Amino acid sequence: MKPLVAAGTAGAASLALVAGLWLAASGSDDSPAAEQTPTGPVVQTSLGLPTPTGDPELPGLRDLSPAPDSVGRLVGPFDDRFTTQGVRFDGRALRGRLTITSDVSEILALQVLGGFYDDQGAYLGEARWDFVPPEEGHHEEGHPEESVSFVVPVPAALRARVASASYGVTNLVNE
Amino acid sequence: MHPRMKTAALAALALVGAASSTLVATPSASANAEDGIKNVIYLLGDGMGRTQVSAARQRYYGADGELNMEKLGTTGQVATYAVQKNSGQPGAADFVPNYVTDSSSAATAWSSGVKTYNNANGIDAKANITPTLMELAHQAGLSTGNVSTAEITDATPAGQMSHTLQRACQGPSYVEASCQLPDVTGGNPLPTSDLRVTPIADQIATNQTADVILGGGLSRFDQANEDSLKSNGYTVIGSPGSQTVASKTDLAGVDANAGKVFGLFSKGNMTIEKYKRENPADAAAQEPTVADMTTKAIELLKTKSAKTGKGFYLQVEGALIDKRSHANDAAQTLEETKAFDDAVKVAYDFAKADGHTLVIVTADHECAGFNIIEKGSYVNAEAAAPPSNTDGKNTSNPSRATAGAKDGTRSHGFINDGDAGQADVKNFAPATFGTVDQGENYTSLDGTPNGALWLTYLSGNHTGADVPIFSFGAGSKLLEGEIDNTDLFGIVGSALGVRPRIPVPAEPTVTVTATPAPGKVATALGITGPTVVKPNRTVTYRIVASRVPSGSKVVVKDKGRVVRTVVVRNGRATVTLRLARGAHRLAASYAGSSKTLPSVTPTLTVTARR
Repeated sequence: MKPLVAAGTAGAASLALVAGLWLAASGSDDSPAAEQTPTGPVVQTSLGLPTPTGDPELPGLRDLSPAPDSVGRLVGPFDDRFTTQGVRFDGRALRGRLTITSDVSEILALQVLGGFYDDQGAYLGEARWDFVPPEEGHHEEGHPEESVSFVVPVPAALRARVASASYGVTNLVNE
Repeated sequence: MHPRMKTAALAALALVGAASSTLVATPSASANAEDGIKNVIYLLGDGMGRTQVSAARQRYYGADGELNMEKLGTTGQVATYAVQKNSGQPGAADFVPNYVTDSSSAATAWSSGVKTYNNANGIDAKANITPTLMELAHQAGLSTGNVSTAEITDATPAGQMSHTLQRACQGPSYVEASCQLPDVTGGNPLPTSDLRVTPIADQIATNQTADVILGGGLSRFDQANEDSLKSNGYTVIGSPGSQTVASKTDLAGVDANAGKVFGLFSKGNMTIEKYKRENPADAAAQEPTVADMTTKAIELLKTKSAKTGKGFYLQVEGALIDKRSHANDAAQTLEETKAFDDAVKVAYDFAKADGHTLVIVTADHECAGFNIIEKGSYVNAEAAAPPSNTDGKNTSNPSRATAGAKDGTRSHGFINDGDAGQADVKNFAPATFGTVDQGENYTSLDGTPNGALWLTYLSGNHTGADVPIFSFGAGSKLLEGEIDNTDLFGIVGSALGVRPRIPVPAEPTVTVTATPAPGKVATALGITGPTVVKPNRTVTYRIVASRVPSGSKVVVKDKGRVVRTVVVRNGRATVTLRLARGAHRLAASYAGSSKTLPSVTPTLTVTARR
């Protein structure tokens, strides 16, 4: 799903560097909270891990080959945490509703990946829908949202050729 | 440091007694590695406000009972507010508070000593990386552990082991919408190589901040993480690569000498105790309890620290109190509070025997405005839309199948009783429970009007109320009264010896030194503890026994009557008493031996009153 190498030694060294620099610089702020709060230089560091180049794909996205007018389902890491209802594809967008079953709390992150295919089932491209949490202080009335509608529009450049779609969830985080 | 805490830290030594022979007044041991504290076990119930504690006590131990956390001896309360994005710290000109925190901001407060915005993790409100206590402890050579019933990438455990702009950047993959936050990075996304947009799972699997990692959230990790952990010397139980969860049997089989251990027992948050109890054949029933994980973590850390000669720092989270409070599921809120309290007992028992451990029990915030209402009184009319409960595994008991609908069994308040103009099926119904005070079969009263405990909620989210804090061990005096959650950074750091030492205000202590005699070693005894207590509540007194050999017995008397005999270990002993209402006169004595002289404490006068 993503490239990642074991890099513990480099990571530990980077982190030690962060802590060391902060300790050397602590106390430089004269605000009341500064006597125990870190305000040292921001250390732009990484753990030596491969750099992601974009959002993740799901296994099988490019090989699924759903039949024309159908919607295929991609396996993702969080499939045991939700159900979907009414997922359909109308040629312009993939639409449906997703209900969280693992938690009764606010959704912090949710991404639906849509794949699009021609009438032979060949992969054409993809698009994503990201849930946007309500701004703080602007919650809807009542209980946390457990069920949300999603729409993954077909990229304009693909519309003339697209015949089917697939979908899966790449990311889901609840409060 | 919180202004009110500074005042407490400067409290003067008090002398409360005198006796024959030479009188020496000494302060009690303070919360610093220099004074014998080597370990800190920091337990928090996520979302566990004062009412969650009180209601669990009434349910399981009765109105006059105590949870284990309430036996620790020192109590206080913690302010939990957060700040807005890009805010300065308290006292700065650009300080902008947010009165209701989330778990990530609260975790950053005690882990790094800074106020930050809700959603931030291990950074301040201006996105500066702030090293955590667990990182500092690890750097100083202490052994470290992080236990949670949530996903181990969730806000509370992540606050010690990672730094991200958004708590939702958990993994297994980088997702721009979940990891970037241009609002706090000058309007532009950070390079994907930046630590602050690196998924938490990758940080945890790579940085070795915690030696022992136990909890849920296997779905956040993958084969590369497993490879990284193993290359760094971790024993991995279960498998992130094959997404095979570990079991309680796997955990029990981990050797105490394993050193670094990584075990996740659920793909998401761990499962509530009720479901496991009622479904013993389900795979979820193989998940350990938070007490099980705490027991193993202490065993591993104690063994590892014995090899290094340094102490350990363990954080334990009972996360499902909050998860079930969000669901307004009072039944499971109570049961998960009890499960968390069982983990507190594990830590408390260890600390009493060890003598070098500070135990702290607190919460990150309250959740859902939980309250105990008078039996038969009306319910919260504002909560017109209680959450439905769609989680197949974690259903409410009694069930509430339909959101926003009256529960005909439990709604008996006058708003729902059909009075003209007031009947409304959407009025929130209270949850009713039997309590242990109602007899052996008290659970049969659950969900009926006859249950003595009536509980209700204000909302489905966090509230800004202060949370309780309980503590045991040297240095716990610093946690008395009102503190701020950022104060915990300095107090715990001081106890671990990784932050500047904070002097501990002395408790009343008296020490009597017997006159030396030829051929025998003089001994001295001191007794310390609270002088005003609640009747019939467990209270702990500490005995300092100078030059008294380990294994020797010390007799504790109240008004001259023997109430306990305790054994001295490494110059210390503790005695736990439940004192009836009224005045008490406590004294401890050591009879001496062929090589040591006897000694006795002066009388400590204690008043037990409501």
